Amino acid sequence: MSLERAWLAVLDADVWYHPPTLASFLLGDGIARALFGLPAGWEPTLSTATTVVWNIRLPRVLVGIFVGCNLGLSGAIFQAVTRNDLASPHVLGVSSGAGFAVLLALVLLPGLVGLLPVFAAVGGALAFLVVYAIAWDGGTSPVRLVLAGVVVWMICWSLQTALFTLIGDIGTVRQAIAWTTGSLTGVDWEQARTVLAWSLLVVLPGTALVARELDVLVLGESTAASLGMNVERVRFAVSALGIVAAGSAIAVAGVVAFAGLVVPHIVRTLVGPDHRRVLLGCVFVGPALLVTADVGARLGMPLLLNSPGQLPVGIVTGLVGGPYFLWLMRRKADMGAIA
Amino acid sequence: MSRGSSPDDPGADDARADDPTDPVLRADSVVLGYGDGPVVADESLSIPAGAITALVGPNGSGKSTLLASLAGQHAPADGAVYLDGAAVHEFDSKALARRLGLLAQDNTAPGALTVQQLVEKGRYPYQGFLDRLDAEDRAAVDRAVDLVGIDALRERPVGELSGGQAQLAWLATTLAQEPDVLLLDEPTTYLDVHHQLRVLDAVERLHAERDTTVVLVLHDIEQAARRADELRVIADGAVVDRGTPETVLTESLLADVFGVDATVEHVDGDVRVHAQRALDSA
Repeated sequence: MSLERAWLAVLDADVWYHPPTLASFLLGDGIARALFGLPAGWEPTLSTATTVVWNIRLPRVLVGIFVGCNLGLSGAIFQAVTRNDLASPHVLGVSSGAGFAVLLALVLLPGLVGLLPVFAAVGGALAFLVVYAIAWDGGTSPVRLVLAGVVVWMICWSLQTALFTLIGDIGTVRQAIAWTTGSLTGVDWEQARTVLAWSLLVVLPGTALVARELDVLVLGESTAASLGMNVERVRFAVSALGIVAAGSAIAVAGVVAFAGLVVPHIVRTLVGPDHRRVLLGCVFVGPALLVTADVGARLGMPLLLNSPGQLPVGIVTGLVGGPYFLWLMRRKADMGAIA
Repeated sequence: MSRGSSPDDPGADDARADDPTDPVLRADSVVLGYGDGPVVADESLSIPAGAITALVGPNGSGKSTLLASLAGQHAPADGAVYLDGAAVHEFDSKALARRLGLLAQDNTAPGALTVQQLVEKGRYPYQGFLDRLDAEDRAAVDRAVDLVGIDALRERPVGELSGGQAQLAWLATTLAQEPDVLLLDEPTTYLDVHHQLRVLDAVERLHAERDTTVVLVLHDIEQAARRADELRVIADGAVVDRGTPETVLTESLLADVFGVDATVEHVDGDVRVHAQRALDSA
């Protein structure tokens, strides 16, 4: 499909000027039918090009955009809360906890697949609480948090691997692998709706509110307190926001490596330490990184190896993010703590 | 600077025996500790309004803990701290921060933050949920930067400052809060002499220009004698003496509390302490 035809399909008037069709994509077939009083078997009728773009390509790009955005924001939030450059949903156990919970649901409660985002968020939150509890000793330090995060990460990873042995069906194994490496293969409007709702209703408005709190939190607990911040309350609320951001991304795309760690770094080298700018930057750089990486994941195997398969996007972000981070580490002597 | 009383003032002895009659900040029978037994047990302390009060005492005597509790940052296990008669722990946290500023001992900021951006953080207690810096905030930041005398550093990243310059930037951040009461925890420790004097000069200017009540923890008794209107001597978690430097600083107190053999001179209403040698501890 040429670029021109793809754009014509995206802008197809049959979708944009036909509310029931648009609603069936954005809200789901069931709600669209109920909303417009359509018969039970109704589905949008569209040209082939429009169907391909709207049903396969567009939701994948949308999910990529919001997953990248949420992971970037969550990384920026956790780096500020822990005052640690190396913090990310991944390193602090949120990703592994969410991934483990999702896998647990896939294996033990296959009927509840619709609640995967909830499982991801709860798993991520629990893992983060455990990390915080392990690292807590009348206060916590960046190094302790990262070490505790690695401990929880290892345990969740072991449990996750153990769960694989319980899966009999090869299809579920593939699904599980896609979850644990992070993949946008096969996402459709259902995932797009999930991540869209969480992003637009919770993550983005929440983030807009916390920029200044993060600016003061990175000055340290005692300074923040003497400036009149209720540190415990703010830190809890902000962490919860970071968990929702990471959890909603993981729920639809699985554990995408390195995006949450690298995106805030890229942004900070571009715009400096002010969190209003950092968070805004993450909203643009995160999607750019993830969507580009996903194009690489989708086309890499056919172009390079002449093989029809698709890579999970998490493998591409890992391959790109790892070396970038190494370069950053060598360039910045004071890596390891924000302060 | 003004002295509350001179050595031959007949009121001096009373001031020594009783707390000042118009305390702005008062710790009332506070018990303070960190889990393994109290550091400060059932002590009371009053800070007179509009004066510079120095808390002095040997290492580990509980000075910083007392200061933290005066700032509302260390909740007493028993007793309470009052600011103008109202219990500190009942204040809204931002309202308290508008009246009472604390410069802690160790401060860290992201290295890429500029001095200007750091000082602007001092306006946090004045900002509502979504407010941006308004004209009044900017004016307060300018006043703080001018008073501390770091206009030339405004655009420098905090990570590139020397220890002394960083301390001045943090002092300006606390001043941007425009508190009525300013608490400073060892503001001169680890600084070179030039920056020690700049910090203390800025504090004296603040006191002279805005009539701010200042409480500082000082290590250096000679500095405390020269700069403070009032002294509170802390040893083993107890307030062992209080009053003006002239009345408090005696050779026997320096020997008993600080373990030094020192001579004390009174020159033109000033006290000069010359520490000679450490006494063998008993």
